[in-house]
Amino acid sequence: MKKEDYFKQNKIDYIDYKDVDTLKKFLTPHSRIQGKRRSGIAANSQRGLSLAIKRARFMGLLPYLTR
Amino acid sequence: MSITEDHKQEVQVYELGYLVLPSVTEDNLPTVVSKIVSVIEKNGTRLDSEDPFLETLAYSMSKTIGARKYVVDEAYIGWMKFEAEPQHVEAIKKDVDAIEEVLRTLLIKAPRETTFTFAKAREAKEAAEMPEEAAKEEIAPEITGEIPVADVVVE
Repeated sequence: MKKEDYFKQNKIDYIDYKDVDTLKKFLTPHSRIQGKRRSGIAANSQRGLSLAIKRARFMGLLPYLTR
Repeated sequence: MSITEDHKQEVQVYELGYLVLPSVTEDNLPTVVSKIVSVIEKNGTRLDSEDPFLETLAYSMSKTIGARKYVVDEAYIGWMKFEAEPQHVEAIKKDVDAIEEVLRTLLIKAPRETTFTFAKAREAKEAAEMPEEAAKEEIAPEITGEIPVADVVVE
């Protein structure tokens, strides 16, 4: 069954890098970005998400890796 | 010709995220922020901003000033939204990076409307936590009330 797009459901057009709590939902336990099969979001949301996560990592809001 | 000239003139909304070294005291923070504001207002107009606050970083960062290397685990994080012509943006980033107290900057294109602020997120988080705490308090007395009953059965 296809999962609903989280960002479309919550009507988030612009995924902000500062919104750490939302971004954390799409990280694996090792802090890697979940794949599109796992996250179940639309392709354009997935692209926006990965960009936002990478920006958050640069600003020290999210880790690059968790051992 | 005229089309390309018009295109050059178009302003774009940008967002500047910045980290300030934790060695700066809370009282001196506004002076650092005003330094950033003065750089931006030289070539653009400020639209929206949020004052920096101390935040624990997800990993340690370092900044070398002169011969000293500062390794930090926390920093003040803030952001500012502004409007500027694309040809001035590189100069703005360079000048903000040149401020000694600034640890890191992130300059990105952003939508004009602000949909997220740290203050709003904090409020939402507190509001979400409140009902949970109230629910826990309700459950707790019931459990303590049941324990003596269980003891009686064992005896």
